[in-house]
Amino acid sequence: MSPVPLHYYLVVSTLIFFIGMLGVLTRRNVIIILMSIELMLNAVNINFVAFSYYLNSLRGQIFVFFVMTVAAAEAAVGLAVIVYLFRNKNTVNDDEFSLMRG
Amino acid sequence: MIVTFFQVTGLYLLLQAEFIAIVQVAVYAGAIMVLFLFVVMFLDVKEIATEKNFHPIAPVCLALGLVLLGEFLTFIFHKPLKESEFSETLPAVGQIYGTAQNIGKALFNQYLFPFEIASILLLTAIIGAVVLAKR
Repeated sequence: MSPVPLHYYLVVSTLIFFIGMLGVLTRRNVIIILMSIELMLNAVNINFVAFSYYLNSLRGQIFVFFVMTVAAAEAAVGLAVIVYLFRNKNTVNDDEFSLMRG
Repeated sequence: MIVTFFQVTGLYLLLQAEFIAIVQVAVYAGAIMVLFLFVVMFLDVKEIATEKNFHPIAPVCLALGLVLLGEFLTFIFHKPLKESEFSETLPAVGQIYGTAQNIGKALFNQYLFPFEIASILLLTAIIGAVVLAKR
C-alpha cells in the first residue's frame, strides 16, 4: 500500500505547533506555558522525523535527538526557575512576576 | 499531555524511527512529565482552579493564531508541492531504517562534536537547576 503522504504529517505537526503556541500566548499559569513550549518542540520533532523518512536521510532523526536533549535541559532549568519564583512570590500567575511599573 | 506524547511515539513508529520513538517515551513521557508532576506536587498551588485560566487578550490571540494557521496550511497544500509529486521524485521512500544501530553509527562518526556539546549542555543544565532550586 502507498505510504502516508507527507502533507498529513506536516498538517499534524502544524496543528500541534499552533495549539502549543496559543497555549503559550493565552494561558496565565507559567507551568502550563512551559508545557505548551514542550508541545511546540514535539511538533517540530514530528516535522523533522517525517522529512527524514521522506528524504531517506538520517539527519532529521539525529537532529530530533539533539532537540529532545535541549528540550529536557530547558524543561529542567525552567522548572527550577518556577520553583525559585514560587518561593519568592507564592503564585504561579504570570502577571504577578512583572517588576515593571506602569 | 502524556497521552499526546504516546501518540507522537506511535507516529514515529509509523515513520520507521524506532529509536526516536523509544527515546520520546523515555525522555518526554518518562522524565519531563514526571519532572512537571514533581514540581506541581512540590509547589502545592492552591489557587490554580479559582483564578482565571486565560489571559484577557486570549480571543485576539486565538483569532490571529487561526489566521496564521490557515496561512500555514495553505502553504502546505500549495500547488507546486503537489505537482512535483514529492513521493515520486524519490521513489524509494523509507529505505533508511531508524534503528539504534544506524543512528549510533551516524551519531558517533559524523555527529560526534554535537554529541559532546550536548553532554556539556546537560551538565550545565543540571548545575543550573540545582543552584536555582537550592534554598
